[in-house]
Amino acid sequence: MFHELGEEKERLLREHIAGCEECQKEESRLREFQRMLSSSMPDAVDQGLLREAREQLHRSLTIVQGSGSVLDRARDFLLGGLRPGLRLATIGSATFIVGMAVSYGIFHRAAQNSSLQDIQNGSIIAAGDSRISNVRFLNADGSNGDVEFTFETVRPVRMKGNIRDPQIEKVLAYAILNEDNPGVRLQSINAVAAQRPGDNEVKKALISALRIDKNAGVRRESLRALQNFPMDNDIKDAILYVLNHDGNPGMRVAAINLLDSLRERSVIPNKDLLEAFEKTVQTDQNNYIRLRAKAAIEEIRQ
Amino acid sequence: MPSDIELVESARSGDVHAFEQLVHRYDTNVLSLAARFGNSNEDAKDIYQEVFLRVFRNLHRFEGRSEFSTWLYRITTNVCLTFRSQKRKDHLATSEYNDDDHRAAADGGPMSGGVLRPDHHAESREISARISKALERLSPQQKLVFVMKHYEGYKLREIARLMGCAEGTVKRYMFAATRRMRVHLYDLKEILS
Repeated sequence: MFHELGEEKERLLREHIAGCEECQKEESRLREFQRMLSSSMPDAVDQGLLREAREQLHRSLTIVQGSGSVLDRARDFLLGGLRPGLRLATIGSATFIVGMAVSYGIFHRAAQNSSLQDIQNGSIIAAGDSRISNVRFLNADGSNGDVEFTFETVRPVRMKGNIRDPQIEKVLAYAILNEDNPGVRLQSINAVAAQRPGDNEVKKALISALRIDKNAGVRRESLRALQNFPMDNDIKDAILYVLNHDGNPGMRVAAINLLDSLRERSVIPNKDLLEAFEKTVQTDQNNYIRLRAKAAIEEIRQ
Repeated sequence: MPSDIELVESARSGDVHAFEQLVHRYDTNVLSLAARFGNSNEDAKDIYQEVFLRVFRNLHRFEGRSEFSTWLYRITTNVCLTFRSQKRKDHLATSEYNDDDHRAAADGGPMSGGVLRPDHHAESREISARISKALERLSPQQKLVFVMKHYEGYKLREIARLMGCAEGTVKRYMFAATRRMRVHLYDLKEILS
């Protein structure tokens, strides 16, 4: 019964099986079936898959949080001071007004967009720096010389300024987290690492990249860049996370080296370090890292 | 190290970093179940996303009457069941509960002639593939119970608690699942012997 019965029931069952030929055969068939399942036990969760899932979730959370906070603020603003009895009426009215506004917006904008595009076509193409895509013909006949189509343009934006400029920091933080090209992510990190940035958003982006970026080089550079920030709990937790969870031994070595130097400067409480190093000694599969952690534990205890 | 409840509180006030810390404590187990329940890595990632986004959106409903992990795994089982029922709609009519498959398996099936004598790894792969295929023929509830019991090591009463149903119901799912699996994998004993 796969260890589901209590002791007494299991004893009774065993006694019955011992005296029942049919049940003995069934038990033997079940054991065989069990053995077959065990022989093909699936592997533990693939670390690459876990990393991909975390990265995807991080992006989704960023979007959800952004939209959620705006809605929450609107809701608080509208309903915050109302008695519960009035809330339903307010919600109903608000839904009606929003519905009307959205319908107007959609139809009005559709009409406006086509006229805007008509006017701007010439300048967009003349500018020469726009990428044209998604061309859709409304009239592809062309027999009388006229065609009509819509298209989308993506225009590069050029920014120049100091790394401490909040707009520049915002764009770079976005690039660190969302650029598909790891080279661009690295360049963005190096750019913010060159100066000590003041923006919290950059720090958060670096911490996220350190934890979830699938490229070890990007994670390594994030770790390096974070050393430019004053040590706080978020950064400490991120470094400890790398030590105990990063799948790349090089990253774990970098984390242990950094933690060791922070220990010497008494930046991180010994209690936190001991906890992390002890976990490393117990779980890390790399001999060198386990030895380093063991040595660090001894030094802390001295 | 902050407790689960402390992290939940921080996450409720919009701290995504705290939420991610919470996620990283339990997501290996969630992904493991998702990977074994789903048919592919993409399925597993979809289930993972859905679980944690649902958790994030509903954090305000978590009252702390149970452990956070229990609440999380309950959501995971719900997502698994919904996920499967959504994805299976399209090919339910053609591939599910097909009696011909039962008969083919019971008659010996394509691998029954002792043809397969490969090395151990290939044999193990073959068995895994057959088991996966057999699992696909179970209903979502049967599959979930079977996977949680045999691959994730839950006890039946824990599964019942997470699925929000009676232990007797879980036993029925388990019994039906085991019977179906045995029928589908009948011929594999020749490979193993």
